Amino acid sequence: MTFIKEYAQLAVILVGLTSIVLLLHLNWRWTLLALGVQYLATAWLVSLYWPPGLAAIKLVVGWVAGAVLSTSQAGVLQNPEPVSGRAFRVIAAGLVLVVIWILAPAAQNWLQVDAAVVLGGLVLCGLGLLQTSMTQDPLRMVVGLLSFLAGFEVIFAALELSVVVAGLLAVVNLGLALAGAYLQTAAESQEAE
Amino acid sequence: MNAPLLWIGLPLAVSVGLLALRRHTRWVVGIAAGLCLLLALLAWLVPLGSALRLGPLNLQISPAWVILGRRFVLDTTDRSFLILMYLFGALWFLGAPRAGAPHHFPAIGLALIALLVAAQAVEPFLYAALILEMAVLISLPLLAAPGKRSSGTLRYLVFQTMAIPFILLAGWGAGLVEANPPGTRWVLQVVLFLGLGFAFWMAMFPFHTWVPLLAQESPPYIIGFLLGLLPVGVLWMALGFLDSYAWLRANPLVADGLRLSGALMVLTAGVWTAFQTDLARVFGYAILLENGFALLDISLQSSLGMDLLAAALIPRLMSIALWSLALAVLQKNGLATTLDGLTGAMRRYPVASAALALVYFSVGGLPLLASFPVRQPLLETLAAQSLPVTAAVMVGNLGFLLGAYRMLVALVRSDHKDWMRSEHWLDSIMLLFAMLLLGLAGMLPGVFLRASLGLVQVFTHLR
Repeated sequence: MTFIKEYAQLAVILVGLTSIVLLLHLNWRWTLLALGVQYLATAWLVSLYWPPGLAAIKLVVGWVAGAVLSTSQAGVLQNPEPVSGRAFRVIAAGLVLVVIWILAPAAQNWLQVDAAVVLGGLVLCGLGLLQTSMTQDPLRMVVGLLSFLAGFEVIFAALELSVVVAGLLAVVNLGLALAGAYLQTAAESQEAE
Repeated sequence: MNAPLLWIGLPLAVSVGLLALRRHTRWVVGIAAGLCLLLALLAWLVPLGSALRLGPLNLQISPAWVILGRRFVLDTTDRSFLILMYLFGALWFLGAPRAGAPHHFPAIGLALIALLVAAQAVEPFLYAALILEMAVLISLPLLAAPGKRSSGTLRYLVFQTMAIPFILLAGWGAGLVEANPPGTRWVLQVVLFLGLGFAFWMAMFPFHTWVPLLAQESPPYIIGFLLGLLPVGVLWMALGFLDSYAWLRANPLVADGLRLSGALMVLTAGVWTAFQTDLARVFGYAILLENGFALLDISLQSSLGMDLLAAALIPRLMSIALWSLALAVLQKNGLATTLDGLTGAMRRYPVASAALALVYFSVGGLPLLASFPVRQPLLETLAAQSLPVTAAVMVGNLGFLLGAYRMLVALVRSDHKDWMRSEHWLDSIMLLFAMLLLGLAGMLPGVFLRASLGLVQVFTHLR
């Protein structure tokens, strides 16, 4: 437990790195791997306020969501993307991170919770929103939404310990993953037509 | 027996069963519509919380259901809401086969209504956000059929999901404000969170772009059902929140914000409509316009405002039903819903075209039509409060009517002299029945007003 608290900043760095990997729009295996690692860091941050058993729910739900999303990826062909597109998203992510860095102390002062939790939560929310807003692809859009919700869950976990809210949020996360898989499949059948 | 089990648990269980039967369209429609009618009838006849004697039987339905320490409460004050939701559902399911709705529509629609009722019933309010998100998630298969464009569906999902954090934070903050003395620093934050959350849910300007896009891409009958029910459920939740907290009602930001948002919605929806060429998109803007007027009603924060909101509800739902049915009939007959595609449609599809014209002008608030009796007092009261807001609303309304005029010109313009009615007789009867009801709502507004006033009785502090 001491390790988890002392090295919480490591979880924030993990969250930032995985969010940037998600923005690179690599193939779906890398994307879902990054999502899995991101949920590990999310559970780490949540465990600063919640018992480890309850925080592990976030990890399990995230990994199951990733597994559900992966079921829709069989046979999906990804068009090669120019480097400029990726560079643009990384620069945009950098700008979002700067804004978060500036806002985080005020948010921490307002919410009165751990700095790592605020920073990690805001990075997930900010970069998740960026991901969602810069794509038309169902998989990437849902991955962005999952990141955004994970960021909120990190902050909300520090404010309120409610098993029912955690359970319902888990259902919503899994529902989002199912929706992403369905929409991806529907989009694929459109392209096939 | 308890009320939430009957009005939430039972329809949810039946909807799962209907999914398995979905290929047997007639059975599924019959069961879904029959159950909805039965639940509406029960809500009307059975007093919740007190005993009902049926001969030797003594039936008592308790109003609360406790699950995992959280309560679902449906008491006598919720009866009008239950009747409205389930009656609306029954009518919609009955029309589904003629409108060419997907096989799984009655099953998913029934679950959707049950979840909206659950969101209304749950205590504390915090959980309503998550229940509503589940309703959004289960509606996706209706909107994005395989092989169709789904960018509107994706935007719908994104905007509705983004409401969750704001509503949950607002619910948490409201608890803090209640626990602390008045004037606490949290009030402003709670108002902002709540405002943002409801702005996403209600597709307030500038978070409205998904509505016309979704209306363009998805079947109009499904859009009518979803965008008819969802905003009503959200509005009732917002009213419940406002009614519960005195510090929220007293905050001037709330009334000002509602008035500004409502006026902006009416203005933007109306002006955008004037330049649209696709009637499916216009349908989306019409729903935004109606939402805008609903916000303006609430912004009055008086018994008049609440009465107007209640009185507008039945014409609103009838208009949405008629509009979506008319569009579905035209689409089913192979017509594009653009102005070009509908050129001269009046001579081939006179009933559907007349229905479109009637409902368009009715939503625009033309005298003698259904929306006029509720718009006139609203505009009068608004004019006494703020002339710029009233002017903005009237400009929006004018833009909407201009769009109606463009559509009318397209419908009647034709080189052919002969009339050739191509609609199915059953479609014509359904459309004529809905037109008659809408016409009556304009001619005899008092009858419909009496029926709908019970809907807002529950909000005792807002009246």
